[in-house]
Amino acid sequence: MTGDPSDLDMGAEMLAHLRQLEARGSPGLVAHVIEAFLRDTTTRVATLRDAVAAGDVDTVYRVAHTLHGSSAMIGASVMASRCAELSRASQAATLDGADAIVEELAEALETIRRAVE
Amino acid sequence: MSDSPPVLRKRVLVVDDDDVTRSLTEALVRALGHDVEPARDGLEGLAKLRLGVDLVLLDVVMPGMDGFETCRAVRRDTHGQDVPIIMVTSRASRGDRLQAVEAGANDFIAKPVDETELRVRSESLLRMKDAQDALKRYQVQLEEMVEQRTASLRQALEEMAEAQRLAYLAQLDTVERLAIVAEYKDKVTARHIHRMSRYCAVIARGMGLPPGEVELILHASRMHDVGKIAVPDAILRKTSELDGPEWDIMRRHPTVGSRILDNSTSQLLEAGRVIALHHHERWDGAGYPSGLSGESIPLWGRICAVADVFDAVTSERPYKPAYSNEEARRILLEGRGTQFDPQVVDVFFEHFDDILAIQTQFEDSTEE
Repeated sequence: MTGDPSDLDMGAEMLAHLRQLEARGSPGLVAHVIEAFLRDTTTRVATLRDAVAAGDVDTVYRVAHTLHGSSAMIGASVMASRCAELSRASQAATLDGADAIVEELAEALETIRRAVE
Repeated sequence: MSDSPPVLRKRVLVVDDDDVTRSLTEALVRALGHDVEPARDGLEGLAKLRLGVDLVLLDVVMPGMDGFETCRAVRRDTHGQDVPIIMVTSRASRGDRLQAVEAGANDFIAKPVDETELRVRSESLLRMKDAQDALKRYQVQLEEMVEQRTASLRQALEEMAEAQRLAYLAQLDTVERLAIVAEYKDKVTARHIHRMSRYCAVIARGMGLPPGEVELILHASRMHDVGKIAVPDAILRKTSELDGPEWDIMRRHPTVGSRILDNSTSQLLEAGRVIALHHHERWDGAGYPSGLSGESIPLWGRICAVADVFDAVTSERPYKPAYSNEEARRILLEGRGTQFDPQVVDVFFEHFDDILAIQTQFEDSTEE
């Protein structure tokens, strides 16, 4: 799933949407949101990778849930749906296939990083 | 919705631990024309309630205090008990919705937050808040108004009471002057009036009359002989027995007194009229002017008859010396059931110590 084109499209649409919002009373919004998303998501992917390896379902659930929210908000829909899968799985207390999803998230993050930089 | 007036600029508290979600939600709120107070967790959100918040957008899953807990805490806070709360979450199962309502949330919005949905939901809640605030202000105004009115009413009542006091004092003054007129004519001393009216009060109290009526009798009895104004001095000051025609004139004084005091709106003057008219009636019906008998003679008249005779007998008059209390006692007991109401005589002697104390206090002095 390297560089999912739909996420790239989302990225472009998302940027346009963010710029519109920025123009309506929130100067600096685009730069801040992109920087915060890349920074926090990098940390979260790393945390998820460790938690999956350690079988820590609670951490997987909490981080996947938060990442689901922020990626949905920013318009990264592929990433959001992977996070939803992950949080559902961890709620059911099973981390089967979770490591693969985490790697997909890592790739999606890099795609977005390339798209916005 | 479209014909409702636009909601004015409000302050919206956005509580979310995720930087991206919070920043985007803030931007949406600003785009709707409101001010934003961001909070990174429940505790910061609770602290910022003090700023006066009109709406709370609250994330559900947060480290530490989660959204439900924060919601309950907001409801417990005096600054937050009425503020509308919208819970914002990507996970909105039926159970979550129930839990949110139970925690005191007003509405639910799913992530990603859609601008139109946020506007519609927040505006309806802000309108509700406006209405609540207006109602609260109105209640406060109403309370102030009631407070003011109560104060005015209290003042009016106090002024009325004061006016009544002044009117009453004016009446007492009138009574005093009427009594003085009669005294001038009759050569009866002011002390007779003082003693006699106090005897009446002792009897009235002894008969168990209410305090207001006792006071009424005290003052009203002072006017009992006001009709003597119409009796010529020659008759009043005559030292020998009155002849028939003279007695006829003398016997007019109750009726004359009653006429002087007639048709007054004053309770005091009306009581004076009753006493003036009836203080020479006799229990056996042989009195004047009406020849009433027994309980058909008003009680105030029966009381005054005993008090007046006792004082007349024990005082010096143009036609007689002062008799002793023993002699007066004998005369009253002799008249018990014929001239006087027996019960009034009994009460008089039951309180004879009080009578004697008054007699001593207002004794006729030689200087007068």
